[in-house]
Amino acid sequence: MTNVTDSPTQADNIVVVENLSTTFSTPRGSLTAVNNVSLTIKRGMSLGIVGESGSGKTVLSRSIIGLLPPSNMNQTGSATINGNQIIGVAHKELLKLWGSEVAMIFQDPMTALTPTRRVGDQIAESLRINLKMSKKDAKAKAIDLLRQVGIPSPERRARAYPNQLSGGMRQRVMIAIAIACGPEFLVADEPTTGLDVTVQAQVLDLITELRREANLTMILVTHDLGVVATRTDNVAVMYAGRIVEQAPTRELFARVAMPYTKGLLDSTPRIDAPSHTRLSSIEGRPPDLVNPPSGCAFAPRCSFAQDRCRTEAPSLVASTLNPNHLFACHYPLNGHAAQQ
Amino acid sequence: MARYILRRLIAFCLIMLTISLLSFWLMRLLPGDPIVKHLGTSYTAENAKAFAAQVGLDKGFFAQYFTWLGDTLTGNLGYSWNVSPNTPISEILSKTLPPTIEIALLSQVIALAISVPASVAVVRRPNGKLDRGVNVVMLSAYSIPTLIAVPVLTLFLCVRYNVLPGPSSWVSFNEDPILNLRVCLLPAMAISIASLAGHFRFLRNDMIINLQEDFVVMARSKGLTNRRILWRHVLRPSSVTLLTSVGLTIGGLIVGIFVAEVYLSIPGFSTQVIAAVDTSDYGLLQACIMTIAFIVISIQLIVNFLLPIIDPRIARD
Repeated sequence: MTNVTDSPTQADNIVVVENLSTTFSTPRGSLTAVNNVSLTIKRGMSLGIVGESGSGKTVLSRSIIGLLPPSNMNQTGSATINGNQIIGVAHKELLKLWGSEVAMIFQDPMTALTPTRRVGDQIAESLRINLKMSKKDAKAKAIDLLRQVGIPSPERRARAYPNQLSGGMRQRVMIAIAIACGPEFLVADEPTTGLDVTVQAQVLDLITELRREANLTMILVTHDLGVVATRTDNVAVMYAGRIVEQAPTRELFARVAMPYTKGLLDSTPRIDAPSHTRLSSIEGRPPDLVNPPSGCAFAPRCSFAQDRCRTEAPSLVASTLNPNHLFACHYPLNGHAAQQ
Repeated sequence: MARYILRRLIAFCLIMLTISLLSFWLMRLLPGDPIVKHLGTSYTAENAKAFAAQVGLDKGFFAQYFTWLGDTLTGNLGYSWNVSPNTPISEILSKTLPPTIEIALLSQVIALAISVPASVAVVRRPNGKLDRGVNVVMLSAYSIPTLIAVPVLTLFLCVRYNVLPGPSSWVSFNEDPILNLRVCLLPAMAISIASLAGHFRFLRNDMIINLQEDFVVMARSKGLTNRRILWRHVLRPSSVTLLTSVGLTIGGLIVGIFVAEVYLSIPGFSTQVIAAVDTSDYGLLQACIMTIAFIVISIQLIVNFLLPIIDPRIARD
């Protein structure tokens, strides 16, 4: 084991992303799904990535671990996990990381498990390939893992096919696969979207507990701000392929700087609102990423937009109120101002 | 499960009965008179009447049908009239079916042995050079009629390079299993050519669709090699159409096998079918049709039974 200090100030950056762009070539032209994104995640921390559908949050999270299929795709910039470069390296190099150091939990447990293989085999396979375990040991460890993620009678469930399990159980199986080989970095892409509300909390609690045990670093991709508020240390808000606001979670919810983030928060239903309150929404649609608007990408939908917003794209800057609070906006809210 | 089997069995019997009635009726509409074919030059009005009375052709249609049905259900298939006069039909079937079934099965083994690895190889880059190349080869092969494939393969494999025994080398499996398999190899290869393209397209397309599924990304994120993902995660859920196609193909192989049997002098079943049609040998022809129907429907039953095993998402109704 490497020297891991408990002091958060000395914790190292396990994930370092610098100027990462991911562009797909489509029949209509090139589509920049991730545009010049930089971020770091400290060991043991969790970063929430939020945004609307199509904001690039899934592409960003998959780009960081190199999981996008290479055809029709171009990437520039850099992303490292534990010092291992991800962008532009051979598939063989990525295979060494996937499963063992980096793992992923997917949105839809209905479709993310191979339908024709028993769930026990799907867990054991990862152990056999990455940890070179024997067939027998892998099988025993798979049952252990199923028990660890809270699946009752794991010996019997290990022999089940995915379609014979409930959605919550399938999501637990997927978590068991993800943690099987003791990864250090976990990407959870909308891990609870396909589940009932009661099961959602259970699954999130399970992930939180497993993370605490293993000091696991995590990216949590979601559009659910409630999940972000309770399960992450930092939040990055994405819009049109860029990070438009980034802050420690508590700070972000206390003092929103970017009108887009405010729009997201306002369109979340509140339990303390009077009944039949009309839920506010952000007018318009996310921009076409093949022909992005000039200036700030959010300007066409922003009620605070001025002429400058439509011509000059704001860059991501630190706030004078909190150096860890970054935003990309010419006219930030709540007294934020750009540090010079 | 018991209900499922019972329902399938009832459907099976109903289909067989329908086929038997239809074919019994249709073959009597065919041009050609079995009595004329049977008697040949010794045809006289008296002889014809005597033969008709002997085999029951003087009775009405339904009387003939139900006599045949009763006989068949009690295990009496009768005698051939014209193809091999006075030989029991059961004996003809038991002798001629094995080579034909052997060739049919072997042809599907060959077709799968080529189309499955070919599909797995091309889906790595759909519409890439390899994919397009293999597609062209498969379609070209599909366009070669068995009538051409058999002599061309004979010319190359038996005459020029002499690696397989030529025509008229037939021995039964019991006499010499190795030689028997080597004789069957050539017709099986010739017939597999027609099945290849279909199997390849079905499997390739299903694999390409399944490669878009989340479980493939999941498998990638587990650190599996592309090779392992294709063979262990994508192939099986993609074989449903392929298996159905194999089941349907086997029933349609009879014509191609006939060409091969005639050309290579293999005493097989399809030769009997064509001869029975040619000589209006009603009893033999009816037995042949029922045999084919039995095989085709049984294969469909087996396929239906296998599909939920291959993909557990498919439920048995």
